[in-house]
Amino acid sequence: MSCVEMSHTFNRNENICLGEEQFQKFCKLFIKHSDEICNGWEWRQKELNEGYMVKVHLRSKISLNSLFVEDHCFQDLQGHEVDDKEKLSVKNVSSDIEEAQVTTSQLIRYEYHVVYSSSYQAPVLYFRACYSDGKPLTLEEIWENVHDCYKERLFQGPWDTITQQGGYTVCSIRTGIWCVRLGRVYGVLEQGGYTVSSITAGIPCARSRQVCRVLDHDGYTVCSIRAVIPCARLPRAYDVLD
Amino acid sequence: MTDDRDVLRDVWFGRIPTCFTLSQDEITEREAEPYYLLLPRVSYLMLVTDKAKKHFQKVMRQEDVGEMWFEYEGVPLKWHYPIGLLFDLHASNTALPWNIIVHFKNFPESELLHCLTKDAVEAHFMSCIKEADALKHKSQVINEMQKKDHKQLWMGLQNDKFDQFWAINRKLMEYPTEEGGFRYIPFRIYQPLNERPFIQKLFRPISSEGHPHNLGDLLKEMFPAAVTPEDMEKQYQVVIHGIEPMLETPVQWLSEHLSYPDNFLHISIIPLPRD
Repeated sequence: MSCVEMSHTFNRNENICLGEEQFQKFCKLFIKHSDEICNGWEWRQKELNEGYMVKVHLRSKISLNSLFVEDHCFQDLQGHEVDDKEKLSVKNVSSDIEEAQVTTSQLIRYEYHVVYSSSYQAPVLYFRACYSDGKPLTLEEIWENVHDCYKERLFQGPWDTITQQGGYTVCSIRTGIWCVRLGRVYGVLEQGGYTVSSITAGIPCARSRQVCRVLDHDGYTVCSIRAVIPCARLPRAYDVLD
Repeated sequence: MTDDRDVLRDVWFGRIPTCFTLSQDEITEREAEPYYLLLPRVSYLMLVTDKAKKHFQKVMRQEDVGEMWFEYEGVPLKWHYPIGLLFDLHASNTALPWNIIVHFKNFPESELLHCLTKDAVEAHFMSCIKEADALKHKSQVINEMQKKDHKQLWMGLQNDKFDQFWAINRKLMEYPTEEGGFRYIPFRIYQPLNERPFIQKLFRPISSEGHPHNLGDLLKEMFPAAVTPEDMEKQYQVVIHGIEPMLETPVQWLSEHLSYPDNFLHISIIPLPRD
């Protein structure tokens, strides 16, 4: 069954809400998949009926002058094809960030938690990032480390997308989408009951009201909103459904 | 709801007389006078202390001025908590003015969020409003609003404009008549010294039999020690906006009238001192 067909089976007006139980079920599937691709997610039991997913990830900081470019380019978030050589324009949040020549790479530790929010009845991604000495990254540094492809979108509304909350950075939920790609993991989160997906190198897709699909540019994981379901490999296009 | 509009004004215009004193640790070129302000209960420290900041910076050298933060009796004050909540939680039963110490260095990284611009306050404020509406209306009302309406809520708060704020906020306080109230009540319960930042759980304003839940019902479920049986000594004060509402008050009414502008009921539970 192709992905397009699958998504059309979802009732567009359905209000999808997870409960804690469903969340745990989906997390089990998610972690199973994570184990299969050695992605590092773990379950942590908190109380009898509560738990969450955790992952710790180390990466070196992308310097501001980084020439790091993906081999394949991605569609930008509006679904337009972007040329391999073309880089999306980046609007700097703070105009006085100096262009530093980083000669030594710094190790950054990211810790992700996927927690069930009873307010939104949906999963929420929390993460914190700190240097090897324990010093936390500033919000600006986190925004800066978002992959170039998503920077334009991020900087249209940085505070709506990644915000602070009590010592963690939250991938916020708003009526747009957000996929933050950090290192090689990212979560897709949306309001109203969605799946968190882990993909090793991927592209976000536009969100429509009820359906969100995330496609990996190698095409190997597509997540429906109901569960992490691997689908047939697709070319680089993606669909937006209302 | 509109019968009690006076209550809305009383809540909005609540003020706390505060005395800001520069920390002894700060390096100054000359002695700094304390700075007095009437702080709005419903606002946030970083929104209303620009003048205090300028006042203290005048006696310091530029290089000694780092990010400003506040402390009360050794406790760093979380700027993302509304001012009224901070006061109720930490200084409820102390004499006025509220004495706050101002710091410009040694920012307590592990205890406070950074707040370098007002955007941080706005983002936090709006995220609370959105969460509150997720609880009240499954986010339907907030999502139907335009971005300019969201902006108006924020501008109303920032500029202390009651009418501007409530022109939009009243929509967040509506509910279908047949429901009798919101889906769930947005509330958070705080205690002065606690590992856990706050208690927040799903709670319906109307019982399954159709009876309105009151403050006592909420507490019985979330913090039973605060509801003392008649013959026993009261152990805790339950404070919202500096007052102890009667336990018989319906939570739906509390949510509509005593919520902060972020649409949450921030409830402080303070242990009574044992003599």
